[in-house]
Amino acid sequence: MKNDPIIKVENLKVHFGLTKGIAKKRIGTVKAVDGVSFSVERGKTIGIVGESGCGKTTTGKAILRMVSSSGGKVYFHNQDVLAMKRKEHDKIKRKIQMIFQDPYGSLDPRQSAFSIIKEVLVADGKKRTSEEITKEVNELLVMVGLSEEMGERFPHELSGGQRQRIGIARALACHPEVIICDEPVSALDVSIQAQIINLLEKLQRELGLTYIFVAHDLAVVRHIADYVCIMYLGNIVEMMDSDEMFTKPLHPYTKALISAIPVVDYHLEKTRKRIELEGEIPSPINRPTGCPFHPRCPYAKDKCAKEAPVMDTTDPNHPVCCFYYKDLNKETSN
Amino acid sequence: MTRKDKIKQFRTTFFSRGIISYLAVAFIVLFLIAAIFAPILTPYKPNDMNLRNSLATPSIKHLLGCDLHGRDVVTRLLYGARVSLVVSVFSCIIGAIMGMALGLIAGYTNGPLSTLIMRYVDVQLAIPPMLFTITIGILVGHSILGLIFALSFGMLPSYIRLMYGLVLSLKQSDYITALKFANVRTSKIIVRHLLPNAFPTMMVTFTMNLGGTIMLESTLSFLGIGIQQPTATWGSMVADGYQYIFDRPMLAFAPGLCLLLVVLAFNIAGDSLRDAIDPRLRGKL
Amino acid sequence: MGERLLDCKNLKVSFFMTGSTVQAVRDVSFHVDRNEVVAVVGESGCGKSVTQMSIMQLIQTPPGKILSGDVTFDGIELLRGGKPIADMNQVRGNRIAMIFQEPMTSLNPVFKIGNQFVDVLRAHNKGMSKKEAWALGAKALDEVGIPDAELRMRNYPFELSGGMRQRVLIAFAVACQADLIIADEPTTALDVTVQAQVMELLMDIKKKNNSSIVIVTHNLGLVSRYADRIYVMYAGQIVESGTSEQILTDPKHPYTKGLLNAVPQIQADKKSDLVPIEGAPPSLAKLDDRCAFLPRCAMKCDSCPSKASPVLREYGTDGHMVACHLFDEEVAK
Repeated sequence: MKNDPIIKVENLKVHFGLTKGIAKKRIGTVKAVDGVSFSVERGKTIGIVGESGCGKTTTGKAILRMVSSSGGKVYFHNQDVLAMKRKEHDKIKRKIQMIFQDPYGSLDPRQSAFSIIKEVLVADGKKRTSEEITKEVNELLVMVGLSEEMGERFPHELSGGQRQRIGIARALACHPEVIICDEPVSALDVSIQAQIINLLEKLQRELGLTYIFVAHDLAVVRHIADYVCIMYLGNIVEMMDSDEMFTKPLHPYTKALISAIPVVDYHLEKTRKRIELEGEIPSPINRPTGCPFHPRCPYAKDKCAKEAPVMDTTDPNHPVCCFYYKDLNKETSN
Repeated sequence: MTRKDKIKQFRTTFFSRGIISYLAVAFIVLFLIAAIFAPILTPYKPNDMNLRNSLATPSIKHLLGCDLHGRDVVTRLLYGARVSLVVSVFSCIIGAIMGMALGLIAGYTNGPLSTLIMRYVDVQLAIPPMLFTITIGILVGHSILGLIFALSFGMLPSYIRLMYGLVLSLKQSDYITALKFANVRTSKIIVRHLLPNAFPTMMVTFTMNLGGTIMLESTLSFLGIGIQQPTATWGSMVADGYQYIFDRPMLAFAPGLCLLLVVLAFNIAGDSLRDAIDPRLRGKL
Repeated sequence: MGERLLDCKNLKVSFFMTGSTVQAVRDVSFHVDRNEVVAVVGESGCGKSVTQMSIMQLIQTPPGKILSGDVTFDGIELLRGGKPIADMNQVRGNRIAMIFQEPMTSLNPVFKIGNQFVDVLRAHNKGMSKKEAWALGAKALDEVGIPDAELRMRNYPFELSGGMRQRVLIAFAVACQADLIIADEPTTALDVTVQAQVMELLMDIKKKNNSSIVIVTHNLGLVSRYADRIYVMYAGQIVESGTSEQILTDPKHPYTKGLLNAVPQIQADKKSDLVPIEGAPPSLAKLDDRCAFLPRCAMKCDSCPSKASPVLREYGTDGHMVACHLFDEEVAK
């Protein structure tokens, strides 16, 4: 990464204490996010991918300070967001926004689309006349592909795709630099998904937005992201350019994940190789020792159960968190 | 859906129980008319004694007869409705407002204050509500104001709990989160989003509670703890009348029946309101 | 072509709500052969689940009503003219098993897995003892790859993970030796690696028991990997049907084409723009007799708005069916 990153996450940790009873006795720790580092340049999109419980959503929430983090740093324009006082944080808050997964739950059912956007717009405290407000809200509506008349509608009068557009317009009303997209299309129908993805890409081009795109759908992430982090049980196991995700996966988990996803291309699907994983993702409460993936890894060796691997940055653009990935990839290429 | 359609749908779901929901609404309206227009509806005063009419049987002049002191039963029923309405509505309003406020604080702050409020709720819930209300009633003295205070205090925990739960879930909703990210003031979030969205559910509980409060007020009056004689209340009328239950059954039955019908009507109306407001229950009956 | 197992003709189902009628299934005909995996694909609200529920006669009436349809399963008439003929209890759960999207709601939360097995098995096999049923259940759990089957029989549903619960439901189908398994979005609630496991399991069962599977899904990738034949549904109708290869490599209907262009592909050299289908699916309560896809169609002709809704007709001779006016002339030849 050459330019200065707009967001830089360093060794971010989110641990939840499990308590019991009135005395709140601590009986264990859930390491939802355990040492995650990545950075994004302005105008780029980073994808965070993984299965449920891997900590991808929690990572997004920690950047926004929706959950309190237990360690690490999140730099926004070289300022540590996590170390900020509340007042300071309030000042930069509006620069980092979020788009939610559930287009039904993310809009107040008692507000019209217009007033949803307006409320967020005027919260910056700037003085505006009501004509200016109307003009700005209508511009936002048009920007996300809705007509101005749509503003009068209430959420239940809108389709899922239209609601998601309102959610995007609301985020844009803050004039953000970074938008965290938490599974923004996974609740939508296939034909609508593409509309929203195209809209996000258009907005990025026009406004120079930076996206942190959290999703479980690899194909969607590959399409929209420039750089991808694969997460498993609170750790990033591999990072790479999104173009390499399907052509040059190195970590055994990434490989398995990719092979588990059926592809639409009929002929490709019939010919490609599959790796099936045993078992299910362990709960973050009982994290396996050593490499968290070793109980399910088809190539695990003794060392994997004892020691946790660290990021191998031989290729700085494609770090992998595995002891044996080099041997592994020799075998498969032969 | 236009506003007109919404009202239409509200009406159809509200009256989905058929004749019984119409009857309930009709009876509540009747109750309100009786309470508000009592002085116009009857030529007598509720406390005018006329010993010549003592235990008079029903006649054209006194439709349901008179009690031991010669007071007209119909008149006393109408004025009793007044007391029931005033006491229940005011205690429910006070209870609901205080409960909502405390529940909001407990749910929104989620700090030590919240723990304090919720532990208090637990403690009060451990005491039988009747016992609690009686104790408070005795402590504050026999008056309508005292009774209202005791009743509203007694129902506080249920409102606090409900509001607490609502606020906790609403607070987590994505649209509230989005407002926080946008630096929208907390007071604005509460007034414009939390309260309006909690309101329908609170309204349903409020309606259902009205019936129960009327019942509780009557019970207290029946036991002689509530409003003092000679003020007419349905509870005290039942208490006075039941000594003559075999000779003059109307003296106890008439207020008892009124009580039964009003409480039933409020409960049915509350149920219907819930069906009409809560989309999850819509059409499931 | 194999032996016909399920045959459904002219199924029509509507839901009568206050003030509107939702035409959920509008004249749907389809069939499933023995030993075949058939996929029904469509977006939410296109009637794909209602179709399957109607075959099982699990539609809540009212508001739902089967208006017409003839359904035959393995020689047994289930529906004739929309009226039930056979005793569904003899077929449902026993010869046709159903697996739902959310396995937690399909299992009774207050009973042990084992007891639920015993109930199901004894309901379908008169005279089976509790012990026999329990043993059979444990064997079925073992067959679907649940470790420590005997122990798991004593678990409650909430003690199992989502993937495990879905396996338990499949085990019901295995224990009853169902001929047909209808899986309604069986893996939508599961993670991708678990989804692969569950789907592979279903395929193994199918092979072992010579049964057939109907997958109802919106996931085109799943279809491409597992289905032999595909029915594409839109607004309560089948708009295209054929083998997976025909539909996925040579789609004819503009909607099918649109769907395939709208999903991001993972092939290395394709990072082209997605082509979404503009607009949103129509409300099933407000349909006229024209083509339901017309307002969103990118390929409509000038004459389409004046024509009645197209019917499903064979395109070519190899069983590829399509309902679109674009092919009127070709079909006429």
